[in-house]
Amino acid sequence: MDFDLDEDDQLLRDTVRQLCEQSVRPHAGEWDEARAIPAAVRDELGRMGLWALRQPEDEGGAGLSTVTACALVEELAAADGALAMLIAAHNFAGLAHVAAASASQPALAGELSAMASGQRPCAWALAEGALGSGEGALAITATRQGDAWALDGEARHVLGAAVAGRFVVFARAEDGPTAFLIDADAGGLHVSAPLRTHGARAAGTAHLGLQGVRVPDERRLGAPGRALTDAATIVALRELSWAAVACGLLRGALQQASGYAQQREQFGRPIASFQAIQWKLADMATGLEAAWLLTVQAAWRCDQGRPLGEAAARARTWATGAAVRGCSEALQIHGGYGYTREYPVERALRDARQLEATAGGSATARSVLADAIAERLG
Amino acid sequence: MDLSLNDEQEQLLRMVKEFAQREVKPIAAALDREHRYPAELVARMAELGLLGIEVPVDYGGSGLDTLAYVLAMEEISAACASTGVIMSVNNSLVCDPLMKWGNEEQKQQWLVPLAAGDKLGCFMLSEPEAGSDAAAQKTVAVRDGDDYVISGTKNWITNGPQADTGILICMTEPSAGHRGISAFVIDMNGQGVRRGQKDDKLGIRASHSCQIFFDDARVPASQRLGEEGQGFKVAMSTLDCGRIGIAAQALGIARAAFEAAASYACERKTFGQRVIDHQAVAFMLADMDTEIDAARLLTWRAAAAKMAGRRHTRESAMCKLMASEVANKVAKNAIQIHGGNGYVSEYPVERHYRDAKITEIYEGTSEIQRIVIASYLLRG
Repeated sequence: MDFDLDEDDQLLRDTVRQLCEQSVRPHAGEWDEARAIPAAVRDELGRMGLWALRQPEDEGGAGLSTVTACALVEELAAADGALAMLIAAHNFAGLAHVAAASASQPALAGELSAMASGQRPCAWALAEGALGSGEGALAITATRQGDAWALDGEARHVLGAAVAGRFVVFARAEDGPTAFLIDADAGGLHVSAPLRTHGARAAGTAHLGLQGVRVPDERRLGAPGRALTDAATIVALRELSWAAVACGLLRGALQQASGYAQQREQFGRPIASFQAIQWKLADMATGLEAAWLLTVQAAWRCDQGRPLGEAAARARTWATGAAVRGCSEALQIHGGYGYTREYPVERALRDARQLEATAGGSATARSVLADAIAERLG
Repeated sequence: MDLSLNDEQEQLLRMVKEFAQREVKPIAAALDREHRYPAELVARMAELGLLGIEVPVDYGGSGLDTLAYVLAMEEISAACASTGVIMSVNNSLVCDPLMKWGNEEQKQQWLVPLAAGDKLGCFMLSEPEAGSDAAAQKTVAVRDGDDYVISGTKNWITNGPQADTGILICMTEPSAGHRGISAFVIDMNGQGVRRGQKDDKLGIRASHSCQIFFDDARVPASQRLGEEGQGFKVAMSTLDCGRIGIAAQALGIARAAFEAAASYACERKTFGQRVIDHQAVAFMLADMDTEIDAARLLTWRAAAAKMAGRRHTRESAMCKLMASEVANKVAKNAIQIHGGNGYVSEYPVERHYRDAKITEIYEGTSEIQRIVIASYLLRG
């Protein structure tokens, strides 16, 4: 039994940490205000392989295990939650879906290496509720036209849409729900202005509108009618990556709160010397370590080829809940300063709320667990 | 990174699970009802090598690792938390300090029979007026030639009524605070050592505890563990290990309560559907499942740190804090899911609820664990 990252992976994590300290953390507040992450930063991360974490090296990726990929996402999130979510969604959802489909569709191989640069990430546009309520929740239709398809409709609240170069979209076709890879510059595709979101403001969440978008059949992902079944695996991966982001946000907030509590004096002594503050810090730290271990467990199972669903659901519900509670306490410890944008904890709290509330919300993960419990003990 | 159990751990887990389900669980409710110490189960645990799991084979133990101990503790405690703590005290609080601090002669004399289960041990730290604050204790050992003469009272000593051997933490230099504390190994049937009435407790009623009185008990200096003044270190390092065992006990209680609640929710019908098909209950169960898993990972991680030979004070505090609080929350919700049936002793969950409470108190209260965890954070 060994919970530590291997030595090489620790070195890699340290390198990403340095990069974050230099190029990410100092600017995360500006990007949040500007609601965008500069292309130059996305490029810099691309050179380190962060836009193709789990892709094999001979396909232009970093060839990392899921555990290591999660550790790097966590590291990014400790500096900037929005950037981490953008990278997580690209790696664990968009890219992962195309990679899975490419196993039986070699024509997609070229797309994968192009996606590894990250210059324009791949957004994954599954409608919330589609897994629970089936294809009825899909607001895009796909009609076959010879060796291509015509797509019409809309997908709402797509994280990363404002900067994406490609989209995975889900449509109702004659055979049932079917997924497609489309380019951002495809004719008939309209991306709305970035939405004014509560958190993850730099992650470019927007709506997609499709009017007669023509997609060649070779860019269909998986068998027609099977898209929601295929998506269940990707949803579990995304849950896992959301957990990793939550861990990073919470770690960042905990470090800021414990640092602040040691500097800030009230009643003639540092507030860290008050038990009421120590209690909050201890609970945040314990919640964080539990969250990280649940995340690592799910990632490790994924690397071992074991079923991921339940482990990912546990990691997501606990980690995002712990992040919201912990970031909220971190803000409280900062008092009036915490409520201003001068300090980064309020951003971490907003980003954590994004993780807990969107992408199906924690409720979806709890449903997955409840079904599994009924199966196991019923 | 490797989160799999090895063959040895798997094998022990299977063996203990079978023993716990077949021999322990069926009598747990009766033991609790009758406040009866399960001498027959303790004898079986001795046969199965569960009383000195981490003690090397050469010293009478099973020669397994900390994770094996944790796995066994969860299984036994899921069946009967009282039996769990009897086992935990002997392993963590008695064998462990003897292994770590005992000299060869002490190990041969005291450790071997304890690890083999021929004798049973207890650990004496708390006093009527000193629980968490170990430096406030009043029991004193005064040097007299080759002996110490010990007087004072120890409180809530688990296994006290049955123990043959005890680890005693007391003052040798009362004015020196933490540095004036020493540790001894005690023959509990020796002159001047007296046991009080067994305590009447909320839970873990089949595990007995009592006061221990030292009335000028004369103990040879050869029974001192470590140097004079090292007792606080002995106590704290012992509790670092003990807390992993209590976390595993709490996990066992939590799992038993969760499984009982989940099964009940799948059978019982209200408003025309199974209780688990009501989302409020389904989500409660989902959270219970998640929190138990999180607490288990923290516990295994603390065990892994100990096995790697690293200092694990922080890891132990975290797993003990989370597992004990999860056990209490889970047991409370398990009763809620059972409704009226949960409140009567016909169903096991009210016992789990009563048993869970102690895990937030002994071997360091939740408040002490938070102080420990915060001190590591604020160390910079």
